Amino acid sequence: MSVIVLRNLSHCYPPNRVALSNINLQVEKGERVALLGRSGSGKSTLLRCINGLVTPTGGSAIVLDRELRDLSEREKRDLRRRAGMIFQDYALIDRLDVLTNVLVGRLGYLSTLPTLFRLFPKDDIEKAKGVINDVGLAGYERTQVRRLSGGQRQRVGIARALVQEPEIILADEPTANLDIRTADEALQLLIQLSEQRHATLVLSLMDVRAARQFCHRIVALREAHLVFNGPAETFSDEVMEKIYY
Amino acid sequence: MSLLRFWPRMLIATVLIGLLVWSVNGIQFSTSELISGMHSAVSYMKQMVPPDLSILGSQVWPSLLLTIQMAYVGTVIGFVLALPFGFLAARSTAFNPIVSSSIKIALNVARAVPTIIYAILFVEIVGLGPFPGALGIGVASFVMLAKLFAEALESLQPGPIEAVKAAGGSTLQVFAYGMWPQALPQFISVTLYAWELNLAASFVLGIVGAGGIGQDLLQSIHYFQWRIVSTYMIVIVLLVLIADATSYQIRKRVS
Repeated sequence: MSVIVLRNLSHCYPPNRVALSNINLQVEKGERVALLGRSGSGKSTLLRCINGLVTPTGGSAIVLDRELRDLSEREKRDLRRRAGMIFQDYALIDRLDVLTNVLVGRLGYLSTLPTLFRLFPKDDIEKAKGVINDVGLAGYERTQVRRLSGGQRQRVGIARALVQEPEIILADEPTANLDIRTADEALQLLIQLSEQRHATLVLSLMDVRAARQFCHRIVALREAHLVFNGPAETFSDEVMEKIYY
Repeated sequence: MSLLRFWPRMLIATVLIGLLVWSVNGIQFSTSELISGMHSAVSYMKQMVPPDLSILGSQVWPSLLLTIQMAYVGTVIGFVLALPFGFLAARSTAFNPIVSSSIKIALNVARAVPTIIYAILFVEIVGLGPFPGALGIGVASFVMLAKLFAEALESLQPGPIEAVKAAGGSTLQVFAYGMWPQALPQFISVTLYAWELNLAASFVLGIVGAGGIGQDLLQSIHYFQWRIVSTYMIVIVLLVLIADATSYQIRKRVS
């Protein structure tokens, strides 16, 4: 069953910078797909088109059986709850503690007024604590995230996405700011936890080795165009050369 | 150096020197008067020591409190008014770019008016006393803070804002979690800075009848009570130093 279907998807930033050009892509439920490509090739925009943070200027994007073009802002918000996002620079709220940062992942499910006063239902707090435990940060719930290391911060970012109980996890270069060992650990953790939850994983990566090692399929972009789409083991050095040089 | 580069510099230097000569004539700058005035300056200074500390409890303390109250109320008025206008003026939070630009232009125009002019206007409206002083400070702080708040909002990191949106957060949740925690330390920092400026302004506002320590200082100068003048000056310097240190400590803690 396809959870993401992109047909001739295009996006152009004003005034006329083409970020994506006629992208056709299908992602099946439970798949792990790596997006590769040089900086500026369109990977981030593609991920943001999938969860509706960016509205594509052309083509169609069907995510979890919903055509994004036809959705109201309210419906897009509902869809975003089902597609958790992990960011390269973690995108955490530095002054708040780990628990509150993770609870941000529950905001889409909760009525606005109590959350404005940082009031969360007990169930949601328990869920957040459970995920914090899963990512190995038990005991850090009340620590301000700015006091954490890069690897720990990304674990908070992973926990925030997982607490959404997402069907799709979109990760935008989640390990780019980490050293190779911490990066591999974070990636393994993300894969293990998303598998446990039967979530589909689409992640953009700079590290070709990690993409080959950890993902089922590789999709590569070059200058806004999709130039490779195939099983990770078929991503040869020649293809890599074509994409990066 | 080629002539092509030399002549524009010569022209600028000539214009600057010409402007100085013209201004010196305009203000009737007089070295002889300055030198002869030194004698009276030295004599005043001699009369200033020792400062008259006997007035500390009876005169200085009530005026000092009034000055602090005037600056505080003015800052709070400025902060409360500046909050909504800061959000309306910031490109990142305004619901309409035309509204944002119009408010920014209005704020820039209003900033050109010094605090003392606002205070004079309020003295005309509500009469003499610290109340018009606080209102004048309030309006001046509002104009300054609204602009600084807008700039703070425009410089927020987009990451946390995008993260709340990506989690399905509503507009208000995006504000409460993505923007407010980032903006608050900056808001506090610039408001403390405004409070420091307002303390200094509230001394000056005594001149237009807003009361407080500035008015008492002016009065004692008029009556040639130099020992009292020096007492006021010491208290003002101490107050500014304490305000500066307090504000620095708080800003350090919140940033």
